[in-house]
Amino acid sequence: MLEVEAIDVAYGKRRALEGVSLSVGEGEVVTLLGANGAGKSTTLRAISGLVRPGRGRILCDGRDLTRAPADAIVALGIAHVPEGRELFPDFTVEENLLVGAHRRWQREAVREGLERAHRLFPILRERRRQRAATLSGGEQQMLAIARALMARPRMLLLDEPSLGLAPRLVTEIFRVIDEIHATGVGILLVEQNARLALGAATRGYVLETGRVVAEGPSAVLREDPRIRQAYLGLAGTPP
Amino acid sequence: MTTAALIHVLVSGLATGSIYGLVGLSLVIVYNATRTVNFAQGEMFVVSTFVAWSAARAGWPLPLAFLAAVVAAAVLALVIERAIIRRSIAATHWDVLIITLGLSLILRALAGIVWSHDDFPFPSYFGNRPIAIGPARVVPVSLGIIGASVVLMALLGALFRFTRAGRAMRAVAQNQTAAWLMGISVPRVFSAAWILASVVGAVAGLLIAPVVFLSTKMGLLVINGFIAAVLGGFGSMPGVVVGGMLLGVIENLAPLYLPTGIRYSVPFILLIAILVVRPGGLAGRVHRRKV
Ligand SMILES: Nc1ncnc2c1ncn2[C@@H]1O[C@H](COP(=O)(O)OP(=O)(O)OP(=O)(O)O)[C@@H](O)[C@H]1O
Ligand SMILES: [Mg+2]
Repeated sequence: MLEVEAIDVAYGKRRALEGVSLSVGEGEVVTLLGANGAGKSTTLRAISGLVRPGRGRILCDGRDLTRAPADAIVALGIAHVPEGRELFPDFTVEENLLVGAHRRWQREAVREGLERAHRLFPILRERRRQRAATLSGGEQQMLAIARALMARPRMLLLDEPSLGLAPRLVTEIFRVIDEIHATGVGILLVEQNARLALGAATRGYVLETGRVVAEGPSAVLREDPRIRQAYLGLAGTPP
Repeated sequence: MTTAALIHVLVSGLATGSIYGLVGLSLVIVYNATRTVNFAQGEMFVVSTFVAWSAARAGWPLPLAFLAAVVAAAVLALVIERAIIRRSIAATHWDVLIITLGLSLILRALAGIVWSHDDFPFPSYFGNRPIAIGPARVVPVSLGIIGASVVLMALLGALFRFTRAGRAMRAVAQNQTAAWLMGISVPRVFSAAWILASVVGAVAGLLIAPVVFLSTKMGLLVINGFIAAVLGGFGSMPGVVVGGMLLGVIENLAPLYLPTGIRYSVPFILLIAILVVRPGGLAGRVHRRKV
């Protein structure tokens, strides 16, 4: 469904991505691993139209969206939960969810979206009149994911959803990722927790200083000595 | 002071205060969406008001002439935003500030060429003959200005609180990146904010012109609007309205107690006083400047 073909992205003179290619199929969960500064967030930003690739193409169902504005990409069914959550701090939880449904016009669809969000994250119903800025880190992450789902995307880009969360909440987030996947939504998951990410995904890519250095099924990546050492904190060769 | 005099001062203070509030609102609407202060706002409503004046002189019925002013305001804002502000994409907020300052001078010069810098009586839609309110005598114009402003403010409040477009504008004000990711077209919100602000300014111009005479000098009202906005914490809409009303009332009250010559300094005295006591303005949150 989503195809990234050899994109280069630069911030001014600084090269962040070089010839990055990847694909995510309809309803597939794919993870993107890499050290700090490898270019994971930049890849997601390029897909959602926040930064423009200098070279290469990005296709969704064969349609070229390399030059499409970010709002049009949302309309195509790709929602991005950015690094750092980027909530609307002065909006209530409910207003954050409603603005997530900006592109949806039917009142009925928006109401259903809210119900779905509350079912996925019951805490958001309790907190619905509370300002987003006053939520805990875990609640903010849940709200960020729920808000993206309000657009009813076919593909979700998740940027380090477990960052800074207590282990119990990390488990909770990964449970929700499985649940979202079960509804047929494709997911491109950027994670620092490679063990969990490879567990949730069927395939993965590894970025190093802006290039894809490894790719393959999760099971294969898990056994790759370099990945075991660099991302799983294990001895190089599998036992 | 007698009750009659007090009522009189209060009413005329609230009337000018409403105008300051509207002008302040127009500044804040653009600022919240784009983080730039549009110093040309004053000259923009001068041009719009002159359009109504020309239309009325050409024999258009008054309501139609006002409609022409509102349309002119919207078109002018759209053109300026699309043709100048949006193109200076690499400009910093400071650059844009200078651009709008320059625009205000250019627009004033152009308005002067087209309409001259003279004072013109402006057709009034509210009576000018005082009516009695309790012991006091009040001119209907003042009540009309207050009434119309309050209605417009309420409409703006409803727009921002209850509509999808209003929510999108508030979203852009808080976090542009996130707004993009929600599928909001941020450039379109910028245009909408400029247009809305310009229309609000035009209404202020149409309301005040019969009282002060129409001239290119009317654009200086932007300073009072700016002070109202700062008093209100620059960003808070209810804050601007309260700031404007306060400014209007105190400005009208001050000459009764202070030497008349000081009247024009009153807004600034008030501004300094409030900023010393409440650095974030009346409604604003405080972000202290490091010293
Ligand atoms: N706005 C920016 N301006 C300039 N350089 C940037 C910007 N954003 C990222 N970079 C640089 O681009 C490179 C890739 O950054 P990116 O944020 O994509 O990395 P990442 O893999 O997401 O890292 P992390 O795990 O720390 O989030 C880094 O070297 C970073 O310094
Ligand atoms: Mg990142």
